[in-house]
Amino acid sequence: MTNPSLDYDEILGERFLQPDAIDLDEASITWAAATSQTADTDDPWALYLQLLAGVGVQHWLQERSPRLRHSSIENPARSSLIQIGNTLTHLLPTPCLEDGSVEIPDRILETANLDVHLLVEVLEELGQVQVRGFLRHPELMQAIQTAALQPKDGSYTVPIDWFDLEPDRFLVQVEAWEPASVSEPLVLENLDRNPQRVAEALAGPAINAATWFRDQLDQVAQELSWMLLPSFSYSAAMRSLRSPVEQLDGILSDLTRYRSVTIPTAARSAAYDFRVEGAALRLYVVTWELPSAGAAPDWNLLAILSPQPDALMPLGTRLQIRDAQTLLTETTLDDASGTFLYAQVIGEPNERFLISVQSPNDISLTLPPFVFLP
Amino acid sequence: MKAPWRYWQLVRLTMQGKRQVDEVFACRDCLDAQFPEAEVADAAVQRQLLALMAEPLPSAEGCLRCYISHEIDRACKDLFMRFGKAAGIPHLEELLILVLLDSDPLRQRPTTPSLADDPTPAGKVLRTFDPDKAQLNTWTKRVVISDRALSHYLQDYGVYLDSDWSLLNGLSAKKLRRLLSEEARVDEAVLQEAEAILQSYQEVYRRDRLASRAETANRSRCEPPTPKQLERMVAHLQQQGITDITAEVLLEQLEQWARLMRRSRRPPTVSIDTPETQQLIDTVESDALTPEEQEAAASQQAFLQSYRDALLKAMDGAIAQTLSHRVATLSQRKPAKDGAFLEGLYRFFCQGESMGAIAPHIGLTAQYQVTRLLNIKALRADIRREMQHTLRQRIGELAQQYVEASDLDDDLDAALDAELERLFSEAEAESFNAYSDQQSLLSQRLCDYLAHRSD
Repeated sequence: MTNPSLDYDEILGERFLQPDAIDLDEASITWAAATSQTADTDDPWALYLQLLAGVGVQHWLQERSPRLRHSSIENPARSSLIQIGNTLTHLLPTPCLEDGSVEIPDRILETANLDVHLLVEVLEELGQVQVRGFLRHPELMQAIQTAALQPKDGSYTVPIDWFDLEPDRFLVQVEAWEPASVSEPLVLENLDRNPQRVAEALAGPAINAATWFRDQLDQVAQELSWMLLPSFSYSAAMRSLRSPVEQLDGILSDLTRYRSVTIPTAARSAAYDFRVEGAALRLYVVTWELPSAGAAPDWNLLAILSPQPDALMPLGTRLQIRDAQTLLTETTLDDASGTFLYAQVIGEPNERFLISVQSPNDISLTLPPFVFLP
Repeated sequence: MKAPWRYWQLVRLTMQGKRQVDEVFACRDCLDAQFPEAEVADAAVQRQLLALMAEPLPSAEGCLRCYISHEIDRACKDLFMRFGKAAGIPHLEELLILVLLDSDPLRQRPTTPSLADDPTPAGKVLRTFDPDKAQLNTWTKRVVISDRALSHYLQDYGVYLDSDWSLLNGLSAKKLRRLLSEEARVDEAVLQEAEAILQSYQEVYRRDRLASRAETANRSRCEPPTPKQLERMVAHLQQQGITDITAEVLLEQLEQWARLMRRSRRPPTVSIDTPETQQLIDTVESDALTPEEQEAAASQQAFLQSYRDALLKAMDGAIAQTLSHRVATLSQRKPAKDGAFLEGLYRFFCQGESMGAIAPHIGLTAQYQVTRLLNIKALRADIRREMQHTLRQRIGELAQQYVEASDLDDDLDAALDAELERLFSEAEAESFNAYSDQQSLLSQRLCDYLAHRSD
């Protein structure tokens, strides 16, 4: 063994820290170390780094994009995967970017629905974490194939320059990757001047109100976070004072008492909170079957628009229901003492109705169409 | 003996923090007496001085301390040359003051501690130096670059030098194989033994570090393995049937690999943005001269006006949103940093001060600390995303209103991206061009927000 030499022209391997390096707090470091010591793993050190990366990325997301929701990383058995927005993300800790390559365990590549690999530099010695880059999973798989890369000892050695080394772009893209749900409410100005948009909306995925009678919300309604309300026969004592169903009760008794709308106790309802031009509104849809001449029953769609608790509905707000041909019914809040709007239509099972809410400035929000297919 | 004056001239800092070289006559006499002819190799000189120091002969220790002061000075100069400029370190003395601490080479003052208790890097060098293993200059440099105070200082300037042991903690067997094979032709048996050595090191060292971190997470640098730890590594190796490796050999082997790792490091190549070339806004703005197009142009003008209004509104909203989130986060830090953050931003955007100039006003010392606190790059990126979020919807509505039956719709996202790219690269370019009086829109709006929020 020769004398260790350290010449003046020797590379020191110094690196410049990122301005947005995340300082891990002591509690997180202690937690990561203790957890990896006791966890069921044959490589506690790797788990420790993985947990540090996870904690760091959580801090990073909270600091950089509070809008993005993400899953927790606390389960050591799943510590390398984190759901960010709609993106299933694999956290890939690496000691140093300048090493030129990173090891990706081949078993992680089999994870179903994996979207992206996030490259996280863990400076264990400093207790710091730096998010450095990302690589979309399909692109990685494609590149592995193109380069005919083979796994060795359980991992692929992937060059750093396959990654996009601009983590800000990751944030932009994660927000963009949230697949723009087809059933998202459509916001438009002057819906009346857009017959084509109305037709498109009517043809899109629909909310099937018939499932409510089975105590279910279908997927479209779930995506929009509709709340299915308990049936009307449900004990009033079970409800909280400001719950949607309580508010609906008041409105319905008003309707039956003063406006001679009859609502059977078998009717079911769901509620949806939203905003149009800053106004916090709540839409109730109440539906029930009607006896009909045909084999399948007809159905009744009652739409009620009210402000959310402690909010106001602006004067001039309009509630509309359309079908494929025409605007069927429309009511406008033109009285300051009015507290809600309602509109009602009756249809055949396969008929589709479009409910829109229009602000005083003609910005309208249109929900996915309603159908009733038992 | 090259440059013999190194053994009798002391490099030190004056009370005013100025670098100064003093001649120490006792050391000169000592050197003249011990080595009348100049033809002796430095290694031999150092070995003999060490032996004399043990006698003890204070002037021999003084010679070594003079020599070490030169090497500390040289190591600092080297560091300063390597990244002083990039990191914004103002002068060499800033580094020297951390490690060049020996002002009494002959140990004459009553307050000067004995070698055993000497906390300075020079003391550490003298206690640990072994002429059989290294030369005094390289050993000194090694002690300097692993000095704790210096590391902290460099870290404040955004420069990080991993310790050997931290490097080795992160070394995979696969990577080690690659490093060794790139270095020279090695056969499989050697590689297997190398893997076993690394495994023994990591088994012991990482386990201990994990255990100590689980108890207390003080951000300590990785220290060299203790003799006890080395013993355990050797025992671990013996269990694997590798019996011919001593603790000493093991340590040297590990240090050598750490150097290999440093040498293999390359800064990554960062891909450069290809700016969006086709900008929808340009096409909309281009002259439309035929009569039919004039009406369309008017509509487009109206669209553009609403578009610009929407853009400005979205930018102001995004600025308010992003800054208030940042302030909320920073106010929870201990100590709270939100005041310093806002003050720093105000000085940067409204007063046009540089990061370095801002530092003392907000209780910081180094430019990097300001860069880190303000984190302008991230701030811009966050504002941009926030704008994109708001505008995507709003612009869609606008286009619907003004530009009917056009294929604009599909290009909207691209157009919006291009427009934001233009706005934000303008803001970014400005930061390289501190003295231009043409402020970007983003900087103007930021400044406006900052100036008014303190009303």
